Amino acid sequence: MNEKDIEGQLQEQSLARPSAMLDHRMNALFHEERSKRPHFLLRGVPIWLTAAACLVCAVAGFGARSMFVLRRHPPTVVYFFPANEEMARFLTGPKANWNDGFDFSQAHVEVIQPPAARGNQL
Amino acid sequence: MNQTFAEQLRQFYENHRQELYTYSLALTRNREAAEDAIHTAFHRLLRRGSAPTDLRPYVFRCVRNAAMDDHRQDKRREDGIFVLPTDAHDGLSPELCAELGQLLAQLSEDERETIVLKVFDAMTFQEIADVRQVSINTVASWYRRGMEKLKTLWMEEAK
Repeated sequence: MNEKDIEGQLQEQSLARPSAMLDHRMNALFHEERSKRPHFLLRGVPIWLTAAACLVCAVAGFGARSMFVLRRHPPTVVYFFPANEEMARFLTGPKANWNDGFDFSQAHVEVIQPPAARGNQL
Repeated sequence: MNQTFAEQLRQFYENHRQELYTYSLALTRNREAAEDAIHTAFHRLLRRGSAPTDLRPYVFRCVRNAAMDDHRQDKRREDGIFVLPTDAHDGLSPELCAELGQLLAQLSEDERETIVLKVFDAMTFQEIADVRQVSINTVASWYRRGMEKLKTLWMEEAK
């Protein structure tokens, strides 16, 4: 008698079978697992992922903001002065000769609105 | 593979329930404890939520761990892995079946466990080594020693 004979004798015997109760318990276990598993839309999102998503959205929103906000051009103020010698010296002379106390009272002032602002006013 | 882990485990159980039960029964030698060990092992696996790609040695190892935990409880441990055939059952001898059951019970736990995994669960020495987390040489030596013992004991019974 060798190993193969003994193996053959062992394999010929009928083995004890698990009870129907085990199958019942295992089915209940797998069923419970299935019902516990949340729908993919309802799965909890980690806090760190939520925070990271918020941060990314905030940065992206701030960056994109400039694309939607109209640029405001400040109105341009133009001074018209009567032609005289003093004015010519002021404009063409060296900076050191500039007189801070230049008299603007004779100037004619006109405010020019930028085109966009004018469009908005209409 | 678009298959959930729980579904994988369920299929594994359905395909291997007899092998798992024979192994668990050989370890616990108590029918209720054997079923409890299988249930506990799968419960733990489901809670863990993942397993290595090669499920077979891993699940058997989990069943073994659960059976070992059960060993701490004081239970009657006399159940064998065989069912004694009735006289009309395929011409098998109830005496031979009982004798083989008794011979297996006389082996050491390592020897019996290895023979059960090799003969009834058709595992290779390498797979058994993975389940037991020992070297393949150790497994082979348990198997050879167990078979030698079975042979000697059988010869003695025959005299």
